[in-house]
Amino acid sequence: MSLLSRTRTGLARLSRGAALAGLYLLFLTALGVSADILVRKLFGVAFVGIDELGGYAMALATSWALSHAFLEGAHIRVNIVHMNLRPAAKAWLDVAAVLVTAVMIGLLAWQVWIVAFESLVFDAVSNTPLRLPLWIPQFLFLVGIALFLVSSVVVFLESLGHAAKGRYDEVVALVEERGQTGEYTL
Amino acid sequence: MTLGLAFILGAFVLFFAGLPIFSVIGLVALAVGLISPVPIIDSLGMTAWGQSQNYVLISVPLFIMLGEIFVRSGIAGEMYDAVAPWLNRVPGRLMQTNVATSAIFAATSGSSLATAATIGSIAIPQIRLHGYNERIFLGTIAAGGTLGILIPPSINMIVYGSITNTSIPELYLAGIVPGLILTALFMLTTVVLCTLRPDWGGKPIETDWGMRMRTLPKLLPPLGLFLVVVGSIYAGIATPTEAAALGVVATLLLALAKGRMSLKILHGALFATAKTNAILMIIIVFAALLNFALGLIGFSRLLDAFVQGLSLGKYELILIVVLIYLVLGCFLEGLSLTVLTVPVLAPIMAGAGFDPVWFGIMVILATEAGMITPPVGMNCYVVQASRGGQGSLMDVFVGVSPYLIALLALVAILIAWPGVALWYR
Repeated sequence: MSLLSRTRTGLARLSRGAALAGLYLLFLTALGVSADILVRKLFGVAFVGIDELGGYAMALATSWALSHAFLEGAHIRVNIVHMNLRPAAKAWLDVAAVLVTAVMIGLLAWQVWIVAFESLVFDAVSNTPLRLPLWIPQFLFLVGIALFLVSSVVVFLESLGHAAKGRYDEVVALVEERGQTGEYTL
Repeated sequence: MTLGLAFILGAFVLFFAGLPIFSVIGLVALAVGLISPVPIIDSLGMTAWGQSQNYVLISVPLFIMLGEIFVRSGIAGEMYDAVAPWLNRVPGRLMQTNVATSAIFAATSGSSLATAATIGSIAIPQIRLHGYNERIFLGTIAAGGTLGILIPPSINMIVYGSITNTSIPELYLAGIVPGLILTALFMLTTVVLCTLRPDWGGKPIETDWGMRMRTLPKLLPPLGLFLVVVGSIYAGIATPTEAAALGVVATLLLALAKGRMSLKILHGALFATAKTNAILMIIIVFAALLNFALGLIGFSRLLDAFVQGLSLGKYELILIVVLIYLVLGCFLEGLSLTVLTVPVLAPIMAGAGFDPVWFGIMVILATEAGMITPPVGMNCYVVQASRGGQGSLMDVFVGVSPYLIALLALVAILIAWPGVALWYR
């Protein structure tokens, strides 16, 4: 196994873990919000900041799962022209798609970095009773996007290598959606 | 105008080249940024952060999670056995069960694909067993699935509501009557088909009144969930987001009580939710950037002026918009369609005097049509996937076509009598 594909396997494992961790945060939010409603109805007191923390949980659940979704080939694309192409054209389009993804996510990471860095420099705190320093959730948010960026660059290099050597099936296997059963809750 | 057309054309080429939808939207946003007075890219970070922690949108992954737990724990499947005996004498029998069970499932699920996948996995083995016309049978599953986003709760309504600042409780209310009418129209379509061709309708199953009564309690879990995720909003207990959180907990407790919960099932549900939520949110983030860019160059005003210049009548305008949705729906998956079109079209429709809640229901119906029309009809893909590699996708598209007519009939009804959606006012 080449260095690239070993790196990718490692990234896949890391991405799975990150996705699950983010979703646990969201799951805990669901439990917390429900407990909040119960306590509010029974005792007339509300938790402070559950909606704010829920917002952060949502942001992390999203960003930490991006890389996992990408490595599973789940990001939505219109493949109707694509699936009727010759293997070579198909593979090169896949490589191009990954390149564009990497560039877009690079831009996103750069811009989120600026937001988080400015929060840190200017000591920005949330406009709520919690007064949480915003750089904390924002840098955690950036971590997920950075992981996605690294994964997309690695997959780009690996698929480019395959395509250049004419191993088109391997490009397709690398980039496109794996068979999935029962996961259609869009 | 020429520039606008060039953008749209460019975007279409990129879509069809198979780029991920979020990157196409991002590229178009950056292209629009080239002619805007301030750089667009600078607001990408804040847009991403702002959209990702949007409190209203939290309900989207929560509903996905609810559906995943409900389906994976096997509770959802039991409804089918409870409904089937009651419809045994109606022409179409189990085909009617497909639609009716979909409608019940829709009242707990916010997603059409989950609905179609759930009913599909249970119902498809029955085709051979009871001698149904395969295509029509598959069609009822794909069509029934579309009810998922029309009958509340609905992920698509949440996204529409968050884009247009329309009340989600109102959208839910407005979906109920059209949802029931569409269920009736689908069932009527099956009755007509099976009266014309009785051999399509399959053999009856063995049942009696005792069995009908005994299986009835299996409908209690979905009824309870409906009360939690929809009822709690109107009882003034919860906001739509809180109702979704309550729904997750209720489903979890239900699965635990039935001994159907394990860490494996929970993790399976969480992974599936992670993936679906991530691919949706990244599209929503870049679509928000695009809308910001379009706002900066005054696109809505330009388009509004253009539409005013055409001096269309009210009905002509809505017919054109419906047509646009039907065409785009053939190629785009439902939520991408919503986030791309609604920010541009909703203000125009509001300006022309259409009610935003009513237009929301129209968008939902158009999205549903898109889910069952080729070449990209996600519901049909899901039904085909449930067949385990038998037959071709065309079977499903052919089988669902009579139900598309029923759906379009409802669109016409809503245009003629907006009160069907706005009954609660």
